[in-house]
Amino acid sequence: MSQSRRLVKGGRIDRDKPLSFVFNGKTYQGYEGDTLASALIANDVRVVARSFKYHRPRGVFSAGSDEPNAIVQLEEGAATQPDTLATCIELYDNLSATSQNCWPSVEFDINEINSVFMRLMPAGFYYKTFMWPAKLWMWYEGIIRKAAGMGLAPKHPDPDRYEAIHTHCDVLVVGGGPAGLAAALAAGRTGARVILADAQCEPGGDLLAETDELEIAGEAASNWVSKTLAELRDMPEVRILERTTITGYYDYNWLTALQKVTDHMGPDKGGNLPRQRFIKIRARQVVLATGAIERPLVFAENDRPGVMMASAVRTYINRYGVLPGRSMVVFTNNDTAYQTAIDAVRLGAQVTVVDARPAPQGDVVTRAEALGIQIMDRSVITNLHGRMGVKCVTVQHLGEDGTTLLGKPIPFSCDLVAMSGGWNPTVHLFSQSGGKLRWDDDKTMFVPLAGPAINPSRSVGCCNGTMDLPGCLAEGLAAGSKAAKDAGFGTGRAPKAIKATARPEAPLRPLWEVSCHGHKSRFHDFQNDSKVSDLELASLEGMVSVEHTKRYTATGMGTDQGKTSNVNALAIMARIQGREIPAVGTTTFRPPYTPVSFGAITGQDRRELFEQVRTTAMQPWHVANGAVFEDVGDWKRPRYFPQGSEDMHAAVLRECKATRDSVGIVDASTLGKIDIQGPDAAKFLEMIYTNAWAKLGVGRCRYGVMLSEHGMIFDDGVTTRLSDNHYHMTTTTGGAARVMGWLEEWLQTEWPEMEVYCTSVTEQWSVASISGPKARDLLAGLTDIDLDPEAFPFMAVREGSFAGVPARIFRISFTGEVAYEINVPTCYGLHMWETLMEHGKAHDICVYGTETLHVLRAEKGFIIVGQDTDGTCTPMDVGMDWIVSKKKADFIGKRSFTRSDTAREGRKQLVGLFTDDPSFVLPEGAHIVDTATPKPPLRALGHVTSSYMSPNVTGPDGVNGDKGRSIAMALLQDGRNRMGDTLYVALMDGRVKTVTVTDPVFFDKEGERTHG
Amino acid sequence: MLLIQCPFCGERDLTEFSHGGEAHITRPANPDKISDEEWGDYIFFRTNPKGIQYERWIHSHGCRRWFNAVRDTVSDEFLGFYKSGEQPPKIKRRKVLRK
Amino acid sequence: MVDTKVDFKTHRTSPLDGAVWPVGPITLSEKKFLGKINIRGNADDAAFLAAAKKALGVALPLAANTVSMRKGKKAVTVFWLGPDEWLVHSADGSQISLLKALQTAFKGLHTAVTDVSDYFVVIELHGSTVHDLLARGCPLDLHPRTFKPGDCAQSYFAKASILLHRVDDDHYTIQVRWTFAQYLWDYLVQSADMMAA
Ligand SMILES: [Zn+2]
Repeated sequence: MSQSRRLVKGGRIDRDKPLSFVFNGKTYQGYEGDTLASALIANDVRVVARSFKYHRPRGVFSAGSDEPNAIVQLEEGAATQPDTLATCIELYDNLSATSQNCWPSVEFDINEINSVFMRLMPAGFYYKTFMWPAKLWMWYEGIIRKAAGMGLAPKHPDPDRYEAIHTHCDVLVVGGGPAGLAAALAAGRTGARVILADAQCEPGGDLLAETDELEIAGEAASNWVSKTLAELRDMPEVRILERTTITGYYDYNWLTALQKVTDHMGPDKGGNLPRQRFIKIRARQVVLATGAIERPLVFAENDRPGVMMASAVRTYINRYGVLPGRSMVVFTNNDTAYQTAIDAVRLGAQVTVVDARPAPQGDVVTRAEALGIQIMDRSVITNLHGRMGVKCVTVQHLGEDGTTLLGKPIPFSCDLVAMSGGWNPTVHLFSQSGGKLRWDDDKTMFVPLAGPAINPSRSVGCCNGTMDLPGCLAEGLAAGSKAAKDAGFGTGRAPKAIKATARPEAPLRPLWEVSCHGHKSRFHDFQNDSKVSDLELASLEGMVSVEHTKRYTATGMGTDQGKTSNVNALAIMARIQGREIPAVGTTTFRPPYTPVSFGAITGQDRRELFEQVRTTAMQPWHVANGAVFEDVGDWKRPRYFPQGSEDMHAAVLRECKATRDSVGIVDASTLGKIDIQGPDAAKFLEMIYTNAWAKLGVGRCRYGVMLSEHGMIFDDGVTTRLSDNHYHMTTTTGGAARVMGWLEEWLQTEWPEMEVYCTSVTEQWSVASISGPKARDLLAGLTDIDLDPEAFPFMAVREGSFAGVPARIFRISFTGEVAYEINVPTCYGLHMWETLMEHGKAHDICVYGTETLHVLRAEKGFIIVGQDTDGTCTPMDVGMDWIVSKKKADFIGKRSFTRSDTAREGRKQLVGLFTDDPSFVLPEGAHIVDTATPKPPLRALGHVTSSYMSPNVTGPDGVNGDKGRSIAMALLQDGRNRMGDTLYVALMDGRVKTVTVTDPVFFDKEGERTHG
Repeated sequence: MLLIQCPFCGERDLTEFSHGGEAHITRPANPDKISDEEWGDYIFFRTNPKGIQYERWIHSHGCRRWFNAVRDTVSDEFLGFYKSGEQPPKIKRRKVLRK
Repeated sequence: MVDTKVDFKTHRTSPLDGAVWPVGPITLSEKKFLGKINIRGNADDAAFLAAAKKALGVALPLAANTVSMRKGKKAVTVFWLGPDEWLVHSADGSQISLLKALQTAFKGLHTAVTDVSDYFVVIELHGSTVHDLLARGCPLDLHPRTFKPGDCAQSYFAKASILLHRVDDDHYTIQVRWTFAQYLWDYLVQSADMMAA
């Protein structure tokens, strides 16, 4: 029968808008305004999931994000979402969901056999049983994960879009219940910027589950909610964020929120809108009005479908127009559950109240009795029958000690148990903020004590332990006003009090666990299948600390983060340990309050927006001419330019050879560039670099190496004196930002008296580097600068025009050939490049990329900082003693040269390696050893840092064949004393290659070609 | 996320800044005249206090100026901000917890 | 032999090729080839301030996160970047003479004047929801109470450092490094697209 448990009227659902949905393959009907949970209950679907460990049948338990049972897999294919709560899914047309943790079906689950052997699977079972042998753990884990699995992660790329945004406010109000609405109202009226964040589709909180008897400001509570929202919406500085859960509370009132923007519409229905929005909120002041979560009662078989929280039953009746049971036992130790009994009876349900308290009295009890509800006082449920749904409970009297069971068990037939063990203030966010909690003995609950100064917040209403409606409203108004004042708005005086129906409550009787006969399962944590007996076992095995016990029994470890289980577990532990509850401790609440999808956190930062891709002005040419790119830092640089069917090896050999034979061209725009000006610039460079700078002539360039104070190389480059007090520094591509920061740090924090200004100009200049025997000929036709070697020698700069645009041309070389680095303002970069390529045809110009650049410089033994060095290399280690000034009294890093470790003999030093086999290119990173038959444990003497096939280098045999000659650079212990030695390189695949240690300069050792 | 008062730009998110370690460590004037131990102390050793720390920050995504802060490393509370070269402010301890 | 005579205004490319892109109520566009000059100097030195004013026709802004503007033919916008650093935006091509004028005016003073016209790119944003779009990547509080027309701020948008200027209520400019322009543009367009549903 369709929606057999739906009431004919009432609730906030729209009966004119029926929706159809599929659950576990069966089609059902619900209404707009339903959650998946309320629609399932309306259709009398009792078993909705299987439990995590024992695969016990479970039903809907609550009506909110504290739900431990009704966890479903929502939708299929790419849009599927595991571990979603049926209680939080707003129903939409054609929704499809399946149960989790069950196979082959939720009615018949093979793994329920675990349940039969439950006593053999206590806490720590997996740890103990599958510990040994360690080798098999991976195998066991696979089986366990399948058996104890949560939902299935989607296998396809997420088709949805997400958005992450920043926002700011004066007062953030978390929670749209009565206290939160009052706070937002008071704060909003001051003109402060207010955000009211509420997790539901409409604010109102528990007021949405009330009947019209409850009055606020002289009218039905729901009317007051509507009017309040209307007033708030009229305030230009107030924003109401619906469907928005504050998930994390971090330092300095920085909070994160997850807004479900289109989830309620269903897949692909949101148009361009993101599915979810991750909001990063900076709030001057925070008002926490997060409410309270009802505490379950821990009694025998309390996890069976049909056992629900009393407040949830009331929510289903009044908000969703669903009666979850016709024959109901309300099991309580306090007054609040009586409202559920009263509302249910009025709708025709048969209700018995089982109250642990002796002779309960007061207004609500009187009203219940007046409706003819049977009340059994001093009573508890000691057993429950009905595996797939409650059929019967057994009730017994409770002794004064709270544990002894008296008299004869009385059976009651019923199809629903609505339980209430009291309330836990929702202190999660307060706790995340660093707030401390206090145990309130009168209220038997943890309440906020004091928060840290860096996170100014105020807890109001139920989350502050204030459970009565007039109190909630008053606290909300007061906190909203004070928060606004602290943020700089209003007087801090609360608006006129709002009158509301008062429901005085008699005290509850603490009831943390209910005795039973025999070995019955009494669950305190439903999601993790954790029982009282597990806590007892943990204690027997020596766990005392809450944190240990939590992990051992998995209590509070699930997606619900122990919302319903933590306090009961603490109280039971207190009983076991013979201590008071606060002495046992509290657990730390960590973000997120509810699960947050990775997609939302990632926001827009994915695919092409995942990381910036930096390219030079010449990029269009590179792309058009078939460049293969590689990532260098965040740059995309051409690696090589294959012609026809060339692979990288062939292309690089051709590019290397052409450059040494005619002229090669490479895009060098990515080099870092820093403009340095000021009267103390030379003095500054003397400290920054290891060599001498004071006497560098105007118009001349010099190579320099920078060290850290530890004496280790961290960057290198050529710096040019443009005029007396003006220098142009270049850095490595990857080191540009680091060097700029380094210079500024010294100038600002150590030598503020130095008159030097540094300005980054990396992108200002596009650079084409041409090198080779024909470089000068090529350039000659394109510039007005005199290129005669006398007029424009090696390591000099000239300014002039190039192809009709202004240029600075540096005669510097990273290839060992005659070379020019042509710099033009970046807007002319492509023009410069195209001109060179066009005019270069007559000179057999060859464009090359980073791979050839690396080979050419390796042939010359030039290092690449970060590849041939690793932060432990001094200039001496890499054979650059010549760059270290002997005369300068001081420069950064100098003092560390004489530290014992830096000065010792036998450090790793840069050497060249020739493989015996000229055609074998060693893998970079491979280890060098001193034996041809290496066996572990093995001492590595060093490693290969650079390795290439060179078409230009002749090996020890004086030969460079058609296919080139393999060369390598390496950092080798005591390398310089090993010249000519035979050593071995051990490869990952077990092979061993024989190498000869050699000088790292492989080509044109005298450097004649550079000066030509 | 920390909220930092740049002495030049004003209050900004932590993500605009980079931390620069302990403040007021001066480079020795004559490195070649001091012992290995003294040099080692300068390059390697930092106080790392539990409690009040004077530390350097740079406003990397803003004005790119270095400045100093006083922070309680236990509560993460900033107790003051001041420019490089300025004397650190006198710190009056405040009560860390509030209702 | 190609002509070696210097010609400043041809042969040029810009990273976004002068793109204009309307998305919902927002229009993004690249402000091509704006002249940009970085100035460093001592704000406590009256001679420096006077020289700068003479060369620019407007005083350097000394209040943090503000701009000063000269309207008309020799229009410039001068941004405060730090206690001793400013940035000048001027018309395409004018930076060459402006640079010389500044250098001349600063003779004898410790200053640095650097042409950064191609180091940065400026994107203009018009529209009633631009501040919302900027919140998609920028952590600044852009509420008119804290970021008014005439204010500027350096911060970041997603992974790009930016200089943001609120020209008017619904008119902003973002300056970003040349090599981050395409990334920033794509980020803005995609984010705006999600707002335009
Ligand atoms: Zn700053």
